[in-house]
Amino acid sequence: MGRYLLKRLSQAVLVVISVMVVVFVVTRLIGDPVAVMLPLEATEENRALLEAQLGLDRPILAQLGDYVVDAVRFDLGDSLWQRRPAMDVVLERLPPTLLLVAAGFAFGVLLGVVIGVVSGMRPGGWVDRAAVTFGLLGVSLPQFWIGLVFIVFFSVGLGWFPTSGSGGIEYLVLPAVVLGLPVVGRIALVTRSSMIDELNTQHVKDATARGVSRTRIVMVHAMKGAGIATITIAGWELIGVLAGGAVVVETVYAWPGIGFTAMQAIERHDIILVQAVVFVVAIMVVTINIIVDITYTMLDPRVKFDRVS
Amino acid sequence: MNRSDHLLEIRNLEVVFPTREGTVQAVRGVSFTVDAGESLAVVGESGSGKSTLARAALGLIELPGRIAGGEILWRGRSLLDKRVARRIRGREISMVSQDPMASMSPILTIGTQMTEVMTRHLDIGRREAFTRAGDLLEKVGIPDPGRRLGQYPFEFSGGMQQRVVIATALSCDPMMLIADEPTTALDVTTQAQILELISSLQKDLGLALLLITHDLGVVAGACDLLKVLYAGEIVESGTADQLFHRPHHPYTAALLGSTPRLDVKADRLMAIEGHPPDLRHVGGGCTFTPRCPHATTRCASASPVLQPSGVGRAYACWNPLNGLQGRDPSHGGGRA
Repeated sequence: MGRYLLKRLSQAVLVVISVMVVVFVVTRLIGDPVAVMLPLEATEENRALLEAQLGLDRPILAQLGDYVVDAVRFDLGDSLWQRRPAMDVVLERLPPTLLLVAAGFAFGVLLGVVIGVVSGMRPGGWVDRAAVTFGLLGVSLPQFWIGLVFIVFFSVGLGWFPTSGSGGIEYLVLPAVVLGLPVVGRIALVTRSSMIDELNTQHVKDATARGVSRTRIVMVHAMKGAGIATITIAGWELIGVLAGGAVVVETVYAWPGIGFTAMQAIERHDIILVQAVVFVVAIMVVTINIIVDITYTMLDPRVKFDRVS
Repeated sequence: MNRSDHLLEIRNLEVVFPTREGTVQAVRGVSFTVDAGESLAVVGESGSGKSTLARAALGLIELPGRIAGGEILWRGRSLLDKRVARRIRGREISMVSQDPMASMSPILTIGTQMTEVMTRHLDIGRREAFTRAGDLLEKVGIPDPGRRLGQYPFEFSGGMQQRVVIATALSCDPMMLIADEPTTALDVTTQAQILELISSLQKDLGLALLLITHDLGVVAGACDLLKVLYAGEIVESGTADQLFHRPHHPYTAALLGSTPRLDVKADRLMAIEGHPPDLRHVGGGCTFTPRCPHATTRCASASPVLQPSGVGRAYACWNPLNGLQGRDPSHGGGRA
C-alpha cells in the first residue's frame, strides 16, 4: 500500500509538471499579454519596458525554468490583471467552486445511481425507458444551453430562483442542477447497464436459488458489483465537472469561482492567472484519480495494490 | 389445493420458452415424486430439459420461460405460488449448481454469503450464524474454517469452493437437496470426493436428493432411483440397478453404451448418432425415432406413453429391450 501510494504520487507530480509545461507554452503562443495590458497609443519603449518588468523578454526556456522552480514553492507569479499573487486570487475563488462542484456532483451521483438501479431492475419497462430517455437528454444537451433555458424558465418565468450571482442557497440551486445533469445521465446509463449485467450473472441466479431475498440481491450483491463501474465513471465525472463543467456553468451564472475567474483571465490575457487556475485544477484531478483507484480495492477484493503496481 | 403425501410431487409439468423462432417445449409433461430421504437421479443429455426441471423444482423459471401446465407441490403446497416458494427456497429445499466458482459473488466473503441465508430463514443473529457457518465448513472437510470465512471465492480451489456451496446449501437444515451437475466443472479426482461428500451427507442427514446429471457414472452409487429424460420427457424410470443392468428403453441402453467403464474392455465408446430433436417442432411419434436402432414405422407416427412395468419401473417405448414384449402385438419382437 505504501509503495503503491508513493509510486502513484510520483506519477501525479510528473503529470502536474507536464500539464504546467504545456499550458506555459500554449499561453505564450496564443497572444501577447503586453499588447492587451497597454493602451493603444503605447510606444515601442513602453512595450519593451513592460516586457522587461514581466520578464517576458528573456528566452522562453529560461522563463520556463524560473517558472517551474517558483511553482514548486507554490509561487505562480502576480496576476497581470489583479496585480497581486495569482495563487491568492485562485485560493480566494476556490471555495465557491468547491461548493458548487460538491452540490452538483452529489446531485448528479445520487440521482444517477437511483435512476440507474431502478431502471436496471426491470429493463424494458416503462420506468426504464423513461430513465434511458432522460439519461440521454442529460448527456447530450449542452450545458450552456440548459443553463440559459433554466434561467428563462425558472428565474425569469417562474421567479423561483435568482438569475445569477451568489449569496444564499437559492443562488446555488440552478447552477448545481445544471452542472449535475450530464452526471445524472452518464451515471444512470452506466449504473443501469452494470445492474442488468450483475442481475444476470450465475451467482445472482444461484443466490436466488439459495434463498437470498430479492432486496438483498439488489442492494448488496448486484449494487456492490455495479458500484465498481459506477465509481470509475463517477471519478471521471468529477474531473469533468471540475475541469470543464464548472467553467461553463460558472460563466453562465456569474458564479464567483475559479471557472469564472479562468474565463475572465483568458479574456484579459492574464497568462499568469490562467496558469495558476490550471495548476490548482491539475492537482485536484490527479488527487481524485488516486482516490478512485484506492476506492476500487475497497470494493473489489480481487484488485490488490501489489498486483496493480 | 391438491394434497400430496410426497415431499416433492411434480405433475404433468410443461415448461416453455418462447423464442423468436418459435416456442421451445423444454419440459413436456413430466411427472415424478420424491419422498423423504430418497435419492433420485434425473439423467439426460444437454438440452433434455434437466436443468429447467431442477430450477422448476425450486419454483424458479427465468423469463422468458414459463410454466405452461402442471403442478409442482412441495409437501402439498404449490411452488407455483411465489410467496410459498420464497419461504421454502434455501430453507426446506436448497440447491448446489454446476460451476462452484460462478455460484457465489466474487466480491463478498464466504462468511457473508453463508450467513445471509441463515439470518433470513433461521431465527439467529449474525454472530451465531458465523459460528454455525464455521461448523458447517468443518463438516464438509474445510480446515481452518475461522480464517476461511473471511476469504473470497477466488481464494478457494474448485473442489473446495463446491464444498463451501454444499455447506451453504445445508445451512438451514433443508429436507431436500437439488444438485444440478454438481461435479461437471471439477476435475476427475475432485468429482469423486464431492460425490462421496454429497452421498454421505445425504445418508447422515436423511436428506432427499435430486441429482441432475448427464453422466451415468455419477449416478452409480449416489442414487437409488433413476429417471432418464429425453427431449423434455421421462422415457424410462426405475431403480438405478434395474436401469443399469436391464435397460428397456433404447436411449437408456445407448447412454449406458456411451459411458466409459473400467470393468469392460472396449476399444472405443459408443456415441449416440444424431442430435436431440428440435424442441420447437415436436411432432407426433417417439422423439428418439431418428436416432433409434430399433425404430419401426409405428415409432414415427405414434408417441409411446410411459407404461409401468413391475414395481416402480416404467418405460415409454414400442420396442423395449431386454426380454420385454412390445405392447403392440403386430410389431412384437422383444429383444432379449
